[in-house]
Amino acid sequence: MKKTYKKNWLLLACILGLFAISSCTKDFQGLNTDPSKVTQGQAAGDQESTGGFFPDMEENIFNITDYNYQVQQNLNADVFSGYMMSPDDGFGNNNTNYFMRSDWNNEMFDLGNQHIMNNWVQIRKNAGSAQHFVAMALILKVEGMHRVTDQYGPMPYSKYGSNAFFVPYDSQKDIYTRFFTELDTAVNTLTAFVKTYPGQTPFKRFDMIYGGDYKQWLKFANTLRLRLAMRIVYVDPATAQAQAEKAVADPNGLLSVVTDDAYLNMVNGLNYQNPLWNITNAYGDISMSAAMKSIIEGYNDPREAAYFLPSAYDNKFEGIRQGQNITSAVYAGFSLLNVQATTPLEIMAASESYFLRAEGALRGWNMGGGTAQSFYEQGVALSFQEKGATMPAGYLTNSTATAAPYVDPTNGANNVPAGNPYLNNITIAWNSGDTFEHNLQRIITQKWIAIYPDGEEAWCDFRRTGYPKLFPVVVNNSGGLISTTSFVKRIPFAADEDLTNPKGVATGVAALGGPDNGGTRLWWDVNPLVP
Amino acid sequence: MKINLHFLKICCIAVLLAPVVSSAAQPETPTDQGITLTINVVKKPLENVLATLGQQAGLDVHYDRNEFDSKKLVSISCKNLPVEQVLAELTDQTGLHFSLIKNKLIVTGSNNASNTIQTIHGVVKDTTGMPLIGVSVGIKGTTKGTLTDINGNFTLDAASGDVLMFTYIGYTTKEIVVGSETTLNVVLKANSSSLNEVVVTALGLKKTSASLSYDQQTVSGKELEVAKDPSFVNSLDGKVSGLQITSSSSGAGGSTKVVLRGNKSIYGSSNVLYVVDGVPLNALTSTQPTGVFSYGADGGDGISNINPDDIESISVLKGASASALYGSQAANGVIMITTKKGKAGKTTVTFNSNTTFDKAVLLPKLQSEYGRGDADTSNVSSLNSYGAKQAAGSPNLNPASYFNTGVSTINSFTLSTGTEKNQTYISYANTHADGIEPGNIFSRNNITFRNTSKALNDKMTIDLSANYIFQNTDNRPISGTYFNPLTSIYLFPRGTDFNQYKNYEYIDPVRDVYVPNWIIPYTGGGSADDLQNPYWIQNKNPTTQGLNRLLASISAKYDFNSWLNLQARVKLDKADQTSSQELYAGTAELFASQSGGYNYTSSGQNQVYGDLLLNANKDLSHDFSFNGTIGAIIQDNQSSSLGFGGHLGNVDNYFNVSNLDLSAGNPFKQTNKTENQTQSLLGSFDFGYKKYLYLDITGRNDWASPLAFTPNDFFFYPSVGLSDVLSSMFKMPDFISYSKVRVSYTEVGNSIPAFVSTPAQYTVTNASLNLNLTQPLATLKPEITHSFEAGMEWRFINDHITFDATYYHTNTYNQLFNVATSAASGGYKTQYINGGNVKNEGFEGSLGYNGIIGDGLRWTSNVTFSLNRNKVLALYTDNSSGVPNVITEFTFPNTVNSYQLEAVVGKPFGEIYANDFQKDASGKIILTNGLPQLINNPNNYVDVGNSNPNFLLGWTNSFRYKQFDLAFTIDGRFGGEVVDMTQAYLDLYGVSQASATARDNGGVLINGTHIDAQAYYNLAGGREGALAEYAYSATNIRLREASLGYTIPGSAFNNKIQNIRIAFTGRNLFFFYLKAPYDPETTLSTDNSLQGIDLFGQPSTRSLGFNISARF
Repeated sequence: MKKTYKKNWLLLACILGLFAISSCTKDFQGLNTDPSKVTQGQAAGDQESTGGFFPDMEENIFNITDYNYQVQQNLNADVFSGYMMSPDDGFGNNNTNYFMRSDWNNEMFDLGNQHIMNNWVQIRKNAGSAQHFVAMALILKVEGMHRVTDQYGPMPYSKYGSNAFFVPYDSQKDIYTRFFTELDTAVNTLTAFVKTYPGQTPFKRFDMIYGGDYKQWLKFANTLRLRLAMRIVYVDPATAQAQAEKAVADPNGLLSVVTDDAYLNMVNGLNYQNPLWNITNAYGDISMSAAMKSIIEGYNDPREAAYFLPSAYDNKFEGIRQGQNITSAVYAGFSLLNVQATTPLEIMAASESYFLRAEGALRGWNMGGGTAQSFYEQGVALSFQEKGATMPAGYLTNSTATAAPYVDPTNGANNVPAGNPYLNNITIAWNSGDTFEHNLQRIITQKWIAIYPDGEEAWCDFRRTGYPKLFPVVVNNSGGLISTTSFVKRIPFAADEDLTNPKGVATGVAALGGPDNGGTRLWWDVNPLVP
Repeated sequence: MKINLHFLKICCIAVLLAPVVSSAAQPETPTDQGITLTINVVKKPLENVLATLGQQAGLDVHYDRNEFDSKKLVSISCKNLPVEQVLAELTDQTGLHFSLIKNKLIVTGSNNASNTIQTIHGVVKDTTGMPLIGVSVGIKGTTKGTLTDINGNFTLDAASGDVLMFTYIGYTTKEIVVGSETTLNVVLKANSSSLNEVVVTALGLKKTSASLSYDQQTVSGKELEVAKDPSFVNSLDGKVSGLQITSSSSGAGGSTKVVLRGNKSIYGSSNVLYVVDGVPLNALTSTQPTGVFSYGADGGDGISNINPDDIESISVLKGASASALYGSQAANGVIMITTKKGKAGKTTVTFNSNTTFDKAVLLPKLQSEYGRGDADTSNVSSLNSYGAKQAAGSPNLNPASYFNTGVSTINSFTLSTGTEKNQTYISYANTHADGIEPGNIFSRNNITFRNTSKALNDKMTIDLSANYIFQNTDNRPISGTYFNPLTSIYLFPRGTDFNQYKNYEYIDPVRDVYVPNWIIPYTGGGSADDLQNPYWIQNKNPTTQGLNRLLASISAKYDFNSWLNLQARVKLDKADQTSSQELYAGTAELFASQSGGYNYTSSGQNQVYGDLLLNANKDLSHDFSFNGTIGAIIQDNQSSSLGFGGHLGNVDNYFNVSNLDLSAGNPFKQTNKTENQTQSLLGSFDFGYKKYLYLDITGRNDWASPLAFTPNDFFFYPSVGLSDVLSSMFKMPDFISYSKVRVSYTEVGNSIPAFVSTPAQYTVTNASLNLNLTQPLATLKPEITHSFEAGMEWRFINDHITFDATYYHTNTYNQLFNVATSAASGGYKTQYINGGNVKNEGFEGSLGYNGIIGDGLRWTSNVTFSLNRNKVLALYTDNSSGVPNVITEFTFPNTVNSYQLEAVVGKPFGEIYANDFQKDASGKIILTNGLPQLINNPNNYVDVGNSNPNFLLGWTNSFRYKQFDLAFTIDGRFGGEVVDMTQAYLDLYGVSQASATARDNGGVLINGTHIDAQAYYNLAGGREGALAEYAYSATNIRLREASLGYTIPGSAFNNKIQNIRIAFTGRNLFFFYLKAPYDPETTLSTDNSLQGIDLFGQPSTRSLGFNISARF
């Protein structure tokens, strides 16, 4: 068919003698290939078609672009975790006062799927024999996607990419089971590679976190396994203990020293501005929260100056009470974040592993020969190191300091006075005689300070354990969907999915086991002591 | 009637003695035809011999019996002798002079007689007795000629026997042989009703208007000059039925959205195709604003560059049938521009100077009652104007004081000269506009050269043309909140002295660099991003857009014989554009580092067009005529760009790529050269029967490179039409001078963009690979529009009254659009699909009058009306997962927080959905804790109406009385809605009069309770508020343009010049009716997005000016 037409065309072109330059339609495929994009062929060299997708995964665990980061986690988890609060009144009713904005709630879902899942699929498809690299990417996939499921609960995972307009959701239980299996695969593959090819880092130039050092990725994978295990401790204690002990027992070890800290380093041609720097400075959209000021000042903790700047309001640190009807002009002068454009994003702090082991030990698990107290104290000390602060003498033995009452210098109605049950009433010094819950509160409170500014992980701990105690919202605009005293439990499914994957969302709601709003608990969120 | 008698007198003998051979045109002289004579006479009277000669040679013999003795006896004997030799013999015997002009033989007294120059005076009028101004009077075969003056008078020296030719656009050309009379009264007949009127149709093909089976409306270049606009398309408003014009709120040289017969394409363009002298013009569509945080402004479009003085006429091909020969570009209709050529005859020089003064109108109404601050007085640094009542005499910024009076001048010069064989046209135009916003300067220079010549025994016509355009725009007005001085002007706290910030900078003593002096103090971290000092924006964030464009074409036509010709054309359109923005140190840190920022883009676009057309035009028999064209076309478009945008490194205010801060991410952006090609074969065939019934069939097959990788890289677009001139077919009452009915059916396309069917490719960001977020689809087809139209034309009472009406119905299928897919669908964010069906149905027409009232007052009046009903019938159904997934709504890209533009099945295209307060079933606002609550979920936004009008009405009038002329256009747009986000911002900040009134009333009354004004507007106002509360009717009626002119005849200058016309003009003079707080006919964006919303767009302007034109 096509040929006949072409012949006619050729014949005519020749007869008419006009188009001496015309080479007819055989060039059309060439013309219609966008020279501004990279073809599969171009990407084939130097592992680009596999390794090339890895940086983008790394750049989306925490998205490196300010406005993406802002709705991916800053205006939700970073606020829900009690770390920060926005002084900007330009958002109207929004997540910070429990009006869960559907346009914001898309972000974590979109970034996770389009950048983590998709790149992983490309890597797996193109990797060929480089299964060790697939394994490294697999660890990063679990790291990226557990942050997604812990915001929403059910999500498409096993059926990812099956159809354009209908992708079913998996239950969070199934997703976590898969996470552990995937970590098994990754650890086994990398362990074997490291054994066979010690010291080799074939994908070094694509890895901004560990420079392709698989030994570091093994430590990361074990720590991640430990984190995930602890997450499900209330819903499936047996699996939790088994996975936690497996993580600790793995000979590759855990993240344990400052140099193990996972940062998205500005190397290998990657340049970015720390998104929090723009969000706090240029946008003026995020500041220190009231709960943060209460806890960190109650402990007289020098990490405060590492995290925040003295306020323009009174040159002291000032935090903003969460969930109030904000007036920008009033709160714009409160403490901004102490972050530089060149500060790399932290993916995971090594100190977290000690707090996880402390909690495991507290629960009586085999955490590799250490006590809850020893892990706890190592974790605190390492955190000071990580943040470049000096631990004051007597910090770890301070058995009196607890969270300070909160005073809003501009509006007394926001105050949280002494004796208020929402003040975090736990001291620093380890006390073996304290109740399990007190010591757990102690561990989680220090962990909360240590893993700042990862509000996502801190919010998970708060939902799981109820610690540290945070201040409830002053204004609750959820329309009764979220309890002020029980705090927000999750983020509603991405609104875009209602349009693009409505049948998939229906499977998600079924798997959630409750209404699709911010008040429904996730699968692992079953601690009876948490309201 | 003197002239007619005189003419009869001359002709009578010839007519008596030599019956005219045929009424059919005889283009050639007997010599050319090789006619020979056989005559044998001895001493016969000359007049008898001439009669015989005329009979044999098929010549009309003309002479004046008073001039010589026609009875003189002559003898001649010849056999098969060429005409010239016979005439030479006669000259020898009589001393008379014979000249042959086509089929006329003119006999004059003697050879010397032709040198007897006499001065002919005359007056030229139309059939109604009105003098005709500017009629070209020339002596045939020479370059001698003149033009009639304001009273229709002319004076010309001519010899007896010369043939005077009277030509005038729109009138039938007349020839008169000069005899002894030196005073002529000439009457020219308008050719509008002439069945042989020739119009230029698609591809530049000429056809008789009677044969057109579709609606095509022509506007003369003169009509565009009533009140000039730097972008001439804006002057078409109200003059053409079915045409909807929305101009961009970006000042002089901005883009215009022009839609014919309703929007058809959801995702693609609904804008018309512009065609200049038969060749499609590169659209040069510029990036449009995308919303609140748009960084850029509209950059103008390809059509806005054209010099309006070069335009001879404009034809609007409204329906698909008219534009069918443009195939895959034809779906949205065509505006066809015919440019001026040199004319044979007298050299004409014109000079035209147009100056207009523009004043901002429809400025926001601001309050001057309450001062800076908030209801909560604790906040001293608040920028709101919700504070206490102002002290007496507090300064209040009047926004009008910020705007300048804009001045635009268009000076143009044209020169037309030529002989029968070679004509030249040269023009130069300079356009300079100082915008109403300080710092906005637009300048453009157009240089045009055109030469038309004949070669190869006049069988070859060669047309060469070149246009060079260079254009520069400084600080083009922009919409949105970033880099827009208007946000700061409108929102500036009331009761506060603005003058202290006119000095917009001061030296930071520590840094030794200028920083902004502004109500928001500069703290080293920059100042507010959306409220910078307006003068800082103007002087320290300057933008420049440059354009260099060359259009060059060569066309050659070869006439094989009287009915067959071959034409070849090649046209090159090369446009190079640059845009830059310099951000000085001290600019808000969102945009720049402490040292500043620099954005620069350079782009190039080339279009090469070539075609070859074989035309045949032949009467097949006495009753059947045929007009056919076959041809081949190639069109090739290329574009590329290279740019960077980033923060400056170490050196303050050094705007150079070497000073970019590379640590802040890769600042470079390159689009490699991309190319897009269409090759076509076409045919167009008209069959006529008895000059009243016509069948018109066209077909075009396009092979398009964007369709590569799909199963079909070619598509066929046919059309068929029928027209019947009833007034020629049947005997009609005398008052009906013309009547025609027509019907046509067409299928045309709207090609898909390049690369959407290309197999997956990767993008590179931050030096890492990403999958292209749009899933390619290898089964895509072009959008196709099935169009049916039927219409009629009537003219009554000698064409004094004209009426035409058209009904049309189009369905656009295979809508190409980019729909969002599930983020979990496999890495793609969107997918291109073909689907849907958009219906447009409408009725349009015009009613006109032209004639003389009383003592020579000529009145021409025309009413145009257009009604379009649009409905999205279907979007898309996906069955790929086994469970049907029906897509019933599509949201256009570039939504603005609380605003979305959508295509929803069952509704008209372009519904505006907006955020609103939550309401109960009865529509009452629900109050929670004493405050309304916003919906905030874009999926639940309310439908506030449609951005498109229901009905358009235009009324143009022109009067001429003696030396005076007056013209005006009133147009109205009825129905449709717009939303005004500017007003929402004004309320949020408490600067609006509405917010003050609410405070005066003790709050905003909702459900019987007063809600504190600031608390209410905090929710309702701004970009995220209840925008649905800011919806207004877009209905408006305005005096679009008017002009009053006076022509000083050449006689006042001793005929040293032909005439001078002075006119006062005005555009957008006033509104008879308007409900919206801004001009609803301006738009933020000329693409499909952001229709029916204002967001700190430049206000509309009223222009007053004057125009002087002189003709030499």
